[in-house]
Amino acid sequence: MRTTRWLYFALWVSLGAAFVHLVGLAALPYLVMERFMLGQSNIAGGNVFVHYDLPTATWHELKRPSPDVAYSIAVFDLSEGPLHVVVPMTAPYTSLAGYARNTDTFFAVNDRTAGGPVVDRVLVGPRTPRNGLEGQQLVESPTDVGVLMVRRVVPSEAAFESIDTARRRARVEFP
Amino acid sequence: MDPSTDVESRVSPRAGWRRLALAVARVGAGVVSALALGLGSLYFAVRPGVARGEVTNGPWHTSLVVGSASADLYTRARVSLDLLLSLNTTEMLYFTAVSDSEGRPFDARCAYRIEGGELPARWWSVTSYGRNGFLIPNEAGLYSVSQSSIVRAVDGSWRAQLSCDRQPGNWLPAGRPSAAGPFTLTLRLFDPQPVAIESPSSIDLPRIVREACS
Repeated sequence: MRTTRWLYFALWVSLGAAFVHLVGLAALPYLVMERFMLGQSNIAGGNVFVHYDLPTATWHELKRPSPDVAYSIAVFDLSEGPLHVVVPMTAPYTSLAGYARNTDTFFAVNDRTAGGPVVDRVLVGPRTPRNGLEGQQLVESPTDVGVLMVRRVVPSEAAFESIDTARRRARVEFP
Repeated sequence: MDPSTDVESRVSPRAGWRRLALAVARVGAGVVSALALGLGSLYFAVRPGVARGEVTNGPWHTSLVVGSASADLYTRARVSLDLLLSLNTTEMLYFTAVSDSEGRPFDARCAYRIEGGELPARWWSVTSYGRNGFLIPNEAGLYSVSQSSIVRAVDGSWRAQLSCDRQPGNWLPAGRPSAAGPFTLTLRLFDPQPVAIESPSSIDLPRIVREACS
């Protein structure tokens, strides 16, 4: 009788543990992303690019940063309408990527696939009305909030200044 | 009415409270055990450092689903802890090494030699990280070797030293031996060539050779 009771106890604990494990697993990317977006929003608010210096040992915005890359990060919020995103490209490599709330990359383009020296797109969310956006190059985000990240390879210290000047022309604005 | 049943049904208030307390304790122990087991197993499954990926090439590991919508729950959770905001494979390939080419785990008491050549990408870099996932402090302020910074031999091949103390030439910091846990390496292939995306396990990647240990 006592053995049966313990077996039931172990069974319920195992089922509970599996439930906690799966819920935590599914929630973790959202929690990490929310924390990251909150930290970035506290620096400059939403829909604004923050341009960082080249990462060093004291740079802790992201884990495993590339020390050769100048990062620009913007937290976007499409709840009030679409956003016009303009990002100048620089050599030897620039990419613009969009990340949904669950960390998935929903969009990525680099200086060769951009089709020109400047990426010019309109970012829309799942509920954004498409009226008046005809003829624009739309990028659809699966979530209303997320992150835009620009990576620019800086091949030498001497190259940083001109790349930094160019990247400060990047903007996120309501069309 | 059966007299024995009548006696059993008249439980004293103290015995009732004891039974209730026992039931609450059992439920509490069950909930605490489930939380501890669930969260403990989750930590063990996704703890930093385990996001090595399903593809192996010598000492290097990568995942082809990093950053993509097809990533499974475990990959997505590991990426959120170790490689948040990583790019998908058409834009970037991330190879991680936690051991040398003979499979021996990295040890900051040892010096290593990294040997490579041209890599199938528009641009590449190799960076060392401490156990906390951040760049390793060093007086020289050097954190990586890259396509732009590496000094090559005439035939295009290159070598870099990986050690705790600064070495002349191409060099990567390994951190102090006293630092908690070993360092790791990440090789990035920016805008990789199609061959690297299609056959990441068979392209030529740098070898990592262990040299002297103190």
